[in-house]
Amino acid sequence: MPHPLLKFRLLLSVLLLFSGSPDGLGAEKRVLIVANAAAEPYSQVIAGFKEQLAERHVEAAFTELAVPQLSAGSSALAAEITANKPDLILAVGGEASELAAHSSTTVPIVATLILKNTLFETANMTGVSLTYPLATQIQWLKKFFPEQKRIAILFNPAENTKTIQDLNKETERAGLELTAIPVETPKQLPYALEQLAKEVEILLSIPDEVAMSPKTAKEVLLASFRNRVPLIGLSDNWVKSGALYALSWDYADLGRQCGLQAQQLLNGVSVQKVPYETPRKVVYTINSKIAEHMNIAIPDSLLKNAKLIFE
Amino acid sequence: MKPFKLSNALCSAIVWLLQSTAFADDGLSTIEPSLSSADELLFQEIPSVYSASKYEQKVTKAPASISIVSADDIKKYGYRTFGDILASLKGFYHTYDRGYGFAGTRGFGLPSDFNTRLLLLIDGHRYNENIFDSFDSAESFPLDIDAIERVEVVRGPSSSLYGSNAVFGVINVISKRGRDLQGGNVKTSYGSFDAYKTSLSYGKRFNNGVEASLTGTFYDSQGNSRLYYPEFDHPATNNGISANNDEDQSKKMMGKISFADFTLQGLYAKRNKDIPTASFGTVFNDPNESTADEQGFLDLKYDHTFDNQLNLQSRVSYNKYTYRGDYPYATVVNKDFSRGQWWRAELEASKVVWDEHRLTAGGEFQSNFDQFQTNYDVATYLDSQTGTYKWAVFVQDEYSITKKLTFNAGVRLDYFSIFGETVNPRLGLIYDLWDSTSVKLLYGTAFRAPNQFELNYFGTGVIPNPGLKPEKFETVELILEHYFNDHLHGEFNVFHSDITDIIEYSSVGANLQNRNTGDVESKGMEIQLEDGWADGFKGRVSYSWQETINKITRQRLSNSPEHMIKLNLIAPLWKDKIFVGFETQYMSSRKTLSNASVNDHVINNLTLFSQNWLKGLELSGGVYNMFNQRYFDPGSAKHRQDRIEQDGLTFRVKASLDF
Repeated sequence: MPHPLLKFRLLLSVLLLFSGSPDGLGAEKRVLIVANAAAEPYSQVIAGFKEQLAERHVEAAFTELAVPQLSAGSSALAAEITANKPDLILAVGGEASELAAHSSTTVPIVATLILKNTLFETANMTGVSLTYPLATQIQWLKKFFPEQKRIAILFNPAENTKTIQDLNKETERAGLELTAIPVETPKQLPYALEQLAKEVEILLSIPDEVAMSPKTAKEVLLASFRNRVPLIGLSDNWVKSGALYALSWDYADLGRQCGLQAQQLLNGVSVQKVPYETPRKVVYTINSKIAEHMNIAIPDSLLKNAKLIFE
Repeated sequence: MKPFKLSNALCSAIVWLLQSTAFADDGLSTIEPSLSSADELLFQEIPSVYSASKYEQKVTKAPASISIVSADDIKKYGYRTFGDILASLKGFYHTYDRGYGFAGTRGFGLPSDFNTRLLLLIDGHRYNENIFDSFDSAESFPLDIDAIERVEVVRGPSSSLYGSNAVFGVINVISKRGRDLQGGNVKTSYGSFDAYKTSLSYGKRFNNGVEASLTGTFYDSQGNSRLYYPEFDHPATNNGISANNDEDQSKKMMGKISFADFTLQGLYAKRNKDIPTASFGTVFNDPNESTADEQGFLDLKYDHTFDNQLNLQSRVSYNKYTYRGDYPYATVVNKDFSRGQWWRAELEASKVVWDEHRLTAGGEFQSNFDQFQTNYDVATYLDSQTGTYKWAVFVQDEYSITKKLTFNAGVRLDYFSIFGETVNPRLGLIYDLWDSTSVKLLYGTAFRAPNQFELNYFGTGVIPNPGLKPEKFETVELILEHYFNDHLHGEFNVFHSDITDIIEYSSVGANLQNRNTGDVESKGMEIQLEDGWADGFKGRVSYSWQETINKITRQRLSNSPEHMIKLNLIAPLWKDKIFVGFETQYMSSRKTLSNASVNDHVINNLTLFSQNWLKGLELSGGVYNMFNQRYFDPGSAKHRQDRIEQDGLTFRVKASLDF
């Protein structure tokens, strides 16, 4: 004999099924959006996310918060979650995602604009990482530098040994020679950068707290500039500041990609069955001044399709 | 100081400062997507320096006051000689006796000093030769200045790292590499006095890892065809007019090839100069008076960083220098000839240990196996052939006591076969008051070893002194540096130096002899604001005050200005295609050897520079001393002239094409 509560749930499901929604989401869902700031590119991501849900006829009520509004940090966000009872959290940006992860262990979180893929190990979190797969990065590097072979990368072994192992395989597959230069402490950075004066032709970058962070940006960019070794940057900002190019992001499309994941979660698919993804659309930014300084000829086809060219 | 000159310079400086401080404070990029629309572009030099500690470090961490001049500055300011570059820098000045150029700094620039108290490095290679221990900063400067990628000027004593000559500063000239050229380039220029220069360069970083560059330059100037010296204003001496005696011709070549950890570099420079001043009492307006300097080296460098981050550098080099001087007297042309040959070996290692210490240690050996000087005409008056050697060991530690406090300490022991050993330390305490402000308290000693000319040259009325000891320098300096924002940098420093045992001629009976007799005290302050904006504007303004006096007479030294003001500005006139480079240099009066003085003066130079019209083509035109200011530099003991008039308004046009 079925439990009365089970009967009620069954009835509710049937009603939902015939409510006319193609996705079976008759009731309005509550989505809490937390972003690092109420500014671009976060707003572009959020707009893309909403568009995607609307296109899929997902009825949702959105509550938007920016990290600066949450003066008490994760406790303030936890209180908001308790009061608002969202069905899903969209976290936009590293800080917002960490706050969301600390604030709820049960509400599904879709996170994006984050570089630390370790955050996706959080049980209730999925999303779209900012990091392109290594194979994609190498594939684009070869488009920009079809003749160059010797690339170098700076990394902190405590943080990125696994990435370097994977990168070694990728570069070997692509016929490139990789020199991975360990930087264990900030004091070792000048030594590592001195290697650029030698045979290195391209400096590739990966997010790294010790070797490749905003704190080290000036030193790394200066060494790249002085030694005319083009740096493949981590973002538009790196390119604007002196990297030759960087794979960038179509922020609205990141939002749409998150929207698709959100739709599944709102449909009741468990977070574990919605793995985090890498950006599906590759865009890039070029610094033509740096190209000129380094005597690098960038093919017209690449220039034509660049998302942004700093001149 | 004439009021209108000073007010001109001050007004320019104040207007520029007001403009520069009006720019917004920018931040550097974050690793995440851009949130700021005002991030700084880093196309210009970011302040970091190698030569202060023999490894790359931020200028704010270097135990010295630093200036950096880039290839871009050289192009846009239209510099023609290395002296022009030095003269633009805070506290530096440059004098010219129509034979050689001499740099002065911190009030010390004895006339015809031959730059013996500055150390010149070419790509880290010690360049001062082994006869006069000097280098020329006029046209005999070994490198075509268009082949320079960057100049690092480290002020103050650095004998703890570099030994002799590193007294008032170390100048490291970094030449262009294959990657800086990536193809061929031809440059040609024409200017006043029928001066033309042509250079041809090729450089490339090849895909197989080899990197090579080669540059050759030829320069010829007829010089000023009519130079008037009132000291010779007599019908018997052409009424004081030296006609067509100022020709200047030089040839320079430099090549570099690198592969893996090795770099082989060769340099050769030769310059012939007619001397119009009738120096050393020669016949005035005689076309036979001339000098010829020739110098070159071949240097093999090894530079490797091991997996444990131990950096090892070693270099061996062969070097040669010759000097010829023709000095016409009534019946003969007296010939002066010097030749020096030497080889050097250097080894140094550097490593970070226990995270807080960056240790650097090394040693060097130099064998001066050929030091020859002769002077002759109808008879031989000097025939000095000798050989000497020297060696040194040094150690330096940069100790980060806390995140904000760094202690830099170094000491070097030098042994010279001619006088024995000397030990020189340098201590620096560098404290970051805030993220953007640092204070440096520095103490150091330095020395200049007596050179072969001072030790062994003799002639009529001059006797040698093989017992000379090194000159000694002791300096204390306080530097305050502050970044008002990412691009506006201010520096203020005060210094005090005691200089003892200066080598100078003293009377010994009826003769002159070089002796360690001079004692000098130098003190002063320098202040500078420097700015570089993302939109192509760049500039700096500086003021320096220095009092450099003889301790016994309490008199200011000759050729020692009390005040200097400098303004440098590069501004884009149209997009990134046309730029104007402007500089103003004010110098107060200077005492001459006869206790008279040369007047203060303001020199203004203006260069228009264009690029990006046609791929690889750059055009420039400059006017120098544009208001035709009449000014003089003090003459030296070898001159009858107490003051030597400098060039008025001159010009130069220049074209450069990459291919």
